[in-house]
Amino acid sequence: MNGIKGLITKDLLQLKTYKRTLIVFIFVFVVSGMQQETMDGAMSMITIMLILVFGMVGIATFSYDEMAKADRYILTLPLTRKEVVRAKYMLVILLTLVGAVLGVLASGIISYAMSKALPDFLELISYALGGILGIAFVEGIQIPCMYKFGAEKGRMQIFIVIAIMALLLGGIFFIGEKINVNLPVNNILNILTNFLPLVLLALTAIIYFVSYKIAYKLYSKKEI
Amino acid sequence: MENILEVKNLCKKYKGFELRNINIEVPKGMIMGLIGENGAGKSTTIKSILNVINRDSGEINIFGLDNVKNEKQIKEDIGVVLDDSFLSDYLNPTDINKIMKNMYKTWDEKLYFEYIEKFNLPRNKISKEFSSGMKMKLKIAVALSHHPKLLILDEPTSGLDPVARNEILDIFQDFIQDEEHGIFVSSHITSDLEHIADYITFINEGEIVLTKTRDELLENFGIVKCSEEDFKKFDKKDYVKFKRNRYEYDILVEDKVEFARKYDAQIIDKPTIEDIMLIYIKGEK
Repeated sequence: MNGIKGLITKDLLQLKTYKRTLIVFIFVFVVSGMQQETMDGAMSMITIMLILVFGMVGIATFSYDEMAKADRYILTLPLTRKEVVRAKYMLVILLTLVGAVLGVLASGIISYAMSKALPDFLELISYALGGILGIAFVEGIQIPCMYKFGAEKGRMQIFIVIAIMALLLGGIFFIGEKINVNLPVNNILNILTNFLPLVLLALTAIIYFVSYKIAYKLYSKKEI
Repeated sequence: MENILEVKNLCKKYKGFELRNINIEVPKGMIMGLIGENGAGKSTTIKSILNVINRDSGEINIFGLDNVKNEKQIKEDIGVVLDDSFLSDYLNPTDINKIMKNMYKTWDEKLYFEYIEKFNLPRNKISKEFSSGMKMKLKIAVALSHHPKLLILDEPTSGLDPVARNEILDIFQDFIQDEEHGIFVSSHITSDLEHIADYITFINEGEIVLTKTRDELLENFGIVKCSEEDFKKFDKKDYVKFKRNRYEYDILVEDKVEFARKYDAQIIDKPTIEDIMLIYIKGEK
């Protein structure tokens, strides 16, 4: 655990340079969220955008390491490759959670300031979980790509991967329609609505877990 | 003498380059210098020792332990300096202390800051603003501050001015005073190794060409300077390689005393390690 703590400390210290940019982003999203017509719209936008920003900041640490060619040096420290990958996932999850907490708090404060009433925190948490699932999906693809192709190339690969997945999903629906298979979309949506927070949490956990396994497999074979 | 590092029959194949049957032994209390031109296989050897790349075959033992099976345990006791890789430039020496104390069980904060003071490095300036010499000193301070037993150094004096180089070489000399310690250092600045190394291993095109003690190399080897006419008199088995120059021949011999006795040779120069390396690489047989 000692080495993992060291790696997370390294990434957090590197992110010091992002401090000002982050404050500007938070300010911009809070202000633009307040311009939304409904209170619901404002709260969902602020919460989700803060999660996305913090999640993406975690990914930026890959670029710092790549610029310094730090990968090789890091592997000379008393760490296993598994710990290196694990530390990265712990960092991005930690930052995503910080974004979620800040988002919920900021939304709550704004909602109270504007309507003098406490917001529906369950609803806010649902927004947050939705945002976390969204960023988990992006990170879940991006982190293994970064380990496989490096920070610069990995950034490009994510667009290709997302495009392929969109095409695949589109293709499945298209073929389904062609051969008259009725996908129970309404049933699926009903189930999702009834168990939303649990479903979101479970999906997020599955995405991170599968992504971590793939990233470790790729990194364990990588010659650095 | 017990070895602190042993490399046995190490092989690693890349497209267009191959490391073939590398054997290296570093006894405790000794400094082993690895020399060779760029692309000869120095970095690949070091990367294999550090298990940063997977070897195809062979065995590497550090402190008597396999470097893959006992990787974490071994790395607690190794200090590493790599010429082209370190932590991000956006960290300052104080940040690095915070990281390293969470990395090594034996990290010595006091010792680290003593080195930082000694090297005149500003504690709170990011290393992006450091000169290349200052950056190298920072890497060396980090490598020494967890009381390692073995130092693995890849080009540790590159980018340093002569004064700083001497300062660093003195630190390595101090480190090796402890008989339980060892240093494995690669460098293309052969004069540095001439000062500090007890053994020299010369690698060329992925193969070890020779391993000798520094004294054997500097005292026994010789360069015979002679005309083409004289050169023709020498038996091939009595010299290592020769280099044809404009007006004379440079002939590298392994035992200059014996050669002088046999051929009554008059001019035999004492070579530097660089001379030996050059004739090995550029010379003919």
